[in-house]
Amino acid sequence: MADEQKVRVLTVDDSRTMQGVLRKALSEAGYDVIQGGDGVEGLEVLEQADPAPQAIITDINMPRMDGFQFIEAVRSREAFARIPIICLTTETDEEKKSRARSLGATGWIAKPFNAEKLVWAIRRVTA
Amino acid sequence: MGDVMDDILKIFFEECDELLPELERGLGEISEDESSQETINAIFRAVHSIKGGAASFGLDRLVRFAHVYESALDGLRSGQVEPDPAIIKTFYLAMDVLSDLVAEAKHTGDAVEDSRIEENVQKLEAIIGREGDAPATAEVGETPVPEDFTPVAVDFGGFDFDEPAAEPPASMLTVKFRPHSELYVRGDDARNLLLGLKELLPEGGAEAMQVVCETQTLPSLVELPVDEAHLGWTVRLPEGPGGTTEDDVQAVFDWVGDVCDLEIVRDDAVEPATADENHAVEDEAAPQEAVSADVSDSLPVPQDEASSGVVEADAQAASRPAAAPPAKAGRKREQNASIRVDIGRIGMLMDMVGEMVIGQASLESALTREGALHDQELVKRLAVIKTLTRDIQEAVMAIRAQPVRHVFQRMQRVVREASALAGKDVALVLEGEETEVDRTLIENLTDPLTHMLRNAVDHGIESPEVRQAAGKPAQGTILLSARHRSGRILIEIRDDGGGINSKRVLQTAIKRGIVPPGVSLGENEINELIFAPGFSTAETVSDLSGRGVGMDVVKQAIQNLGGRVTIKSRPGRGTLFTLSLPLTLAVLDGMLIECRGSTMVVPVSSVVELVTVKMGEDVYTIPDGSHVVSVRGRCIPLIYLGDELTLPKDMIGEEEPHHMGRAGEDGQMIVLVVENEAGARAALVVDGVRDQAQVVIKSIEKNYRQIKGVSAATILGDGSVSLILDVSTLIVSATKRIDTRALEAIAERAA
Repeated sequence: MADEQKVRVLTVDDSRTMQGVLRKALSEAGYDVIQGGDGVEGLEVLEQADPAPQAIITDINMPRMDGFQFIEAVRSREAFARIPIICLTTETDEEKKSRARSLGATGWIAKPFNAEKLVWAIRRVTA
Repeated sequence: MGDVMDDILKIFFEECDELLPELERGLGEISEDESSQETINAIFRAVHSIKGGAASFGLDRLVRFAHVYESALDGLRSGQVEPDPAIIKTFYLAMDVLSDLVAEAKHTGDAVEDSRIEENVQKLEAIIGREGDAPATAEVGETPVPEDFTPVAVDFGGFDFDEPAAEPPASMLTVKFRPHSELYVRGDDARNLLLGLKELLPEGGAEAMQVVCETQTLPSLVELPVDEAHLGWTVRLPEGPGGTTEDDVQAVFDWVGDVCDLEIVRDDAVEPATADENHAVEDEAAPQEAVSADVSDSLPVPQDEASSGVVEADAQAASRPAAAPPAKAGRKREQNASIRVDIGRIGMLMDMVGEMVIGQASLESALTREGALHDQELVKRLAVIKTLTRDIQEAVMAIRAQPVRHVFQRMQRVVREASALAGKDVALVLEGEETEVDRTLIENLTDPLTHMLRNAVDHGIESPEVRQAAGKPAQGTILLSARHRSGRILIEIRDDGGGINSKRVLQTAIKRGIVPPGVSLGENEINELIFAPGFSTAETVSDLSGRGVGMDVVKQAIQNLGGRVTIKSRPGRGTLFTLSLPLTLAVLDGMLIECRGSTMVVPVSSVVELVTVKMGEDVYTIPDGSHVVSVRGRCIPLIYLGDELTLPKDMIGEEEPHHMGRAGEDGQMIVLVVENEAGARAALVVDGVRDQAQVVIKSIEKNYRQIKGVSAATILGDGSVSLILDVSTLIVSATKRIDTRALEAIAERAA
């Protein structure tokens, strides 16, 4: 099955529009996309995913469980401790960036993003 | 590709339709001081998501405005801005602009005026003290976009790098980096960075990259701390066309600047392969694949991978998914909460259920004709089908049901705008927003509700001065509530204004020739007059409700939905409008009655009782010639249904007692006492009652035209068409004819 050759990416974002855009951009770039609508759902999807995704893209500002809590939760699970996590957000605050970093985020992309930048970022962490 | 984008755009607009009410709700909570940090986060997120989505579609006007709005809300979120009433008002107005900009993008609304946008932008910027930034020009196209933000439409074009492989590089860049252990903790890897550098080079140009791993710092295996990083790399790659730039290299290390030592040096002298003593040097002739291989090879010892758990994770991350089955568990999981269904499909289902109800009824009718219903077994099975049909119908109705919240919340804006125009201070309080109603009904409720709320603000609530003089709070309150009651939904609009001035209403009605002079009407009947066509008490046509639409249109709209409107008013205390609507427009429980050979349907919900009265004893003729009947000590206008509907008399062809009702030889008549929402009653004289059944409503207006006293038609089990009576209209026309005082007199006499 072709999917087995594809790099699997988990995207976590509460905006369905953004999820649609991400799904489209990533699947057109040849990625296998799985999605979660907020931190809680993202974690559920992550835990159920087989195979596990090779990269995670997460929004920061989300209901229920925000991006920071999500990163922390992912990192606290040994099996996912090394999956690269890219924050995709409009937050540009340095303080927030460094908070995300200290929690274990791998990278940071500012929204609005273009597909090329996104794909570059994923390749950068899943090479 | 366009299709997918269109679909996402559709999702975006759907999302806006959910986010805007959320924003409104949040602002409501803040203004009522019931907000928490989560409320503020939620409204911020709503605007934020609209902006993010809009940016993906290049909806610049929307993006720009949302951005300014978001920044102002961010001030609220960070606690820099205290929400005072003026600021909340600004947020509300901005929300209206935002919502209009969405409508503009959707092409469902007019283009928003630039000046209005600019005005709101300035107000929003003033909140966070950014007014200085705004240029005086009102040109929206030039609305300043803060430096930190540029909308970028998503470009789904190809991702190929097809720059021509160019001339030999003018210079080389030497990149030295040494990751700290934190780099690995963050899920990154030196390998990623090396490959990232390789990707900077044009296709086929990768062989120009030289990678040297510095292993001197690596302790001997015995004393190697497993959770620390020990390796460093020196990479040389060409600069310029056919190579890369320093900025691009910097970009590769963008995320790891704080967790590695990095040095980028440009040397103009092109020196191939500066080999450091003990290190493998990239073979210049190596094909591209070899580079990756070598990059991996240049990690002689994994730094912190002694822990087996980590090794496993890493292996999984590094090698493309192995033999594991492509489980879709995650995806399924995402979808189990709810699904989105095209409304057309549900409509189709609803229609089919309607036909099924008819089909089931016709089966029953056919079996009855055959006399088969003596067969107990058959009767039982038929009953099962009947129950199932009803269950399915209810289930489909439940699918179509939506909370009224959406339409209710829209009314906040209506009241806000109306009170601003009228110079009044009015708060709209919502209740029972969770009440679920059929979707079609909700859609058709917006206009009548809008009009009634405008009216309430315009005519109901007094000006602040008048209110204070009357000892009321300056701010008027309108309560909009919804609840279910006996199979219908009741929507109430209650204001604490001055109430209806019945005297003036009556005067106007007489002046307009709606009622004859000298008529004696009770307060309720007088109030009902405001629903009469051509009635308007407003001396000057105001900007608000006086848009050429009277309450008669509102009433008509509600009636078209199978509903009724009633008024109660207490002078000085306020007015209460009650809308009573069916839960669905598709099916109703009806009582099948016979009248002059026709079968007609009366909604069960309006039937009070069925009684037999004696012509001579219970029926009275009042001076104007109409008849009333005394039922349980109460005088009720009598409606001779056949006459009222002008049914041809020869349809029964026989002798025909009195006006129509087939009064028996002893002068007995069957009357059906019906009641409307206001509690007004009338007695319908009928020939008999045939059955009670669930009937499918078929619009008569759509297929024929409106008939007074008839709300719709239906198809009965035997295949015949039958009319569904509009009981409310019948009662109103009957009570209007009758002099109430005469009624009261008779009631006294009868008692």
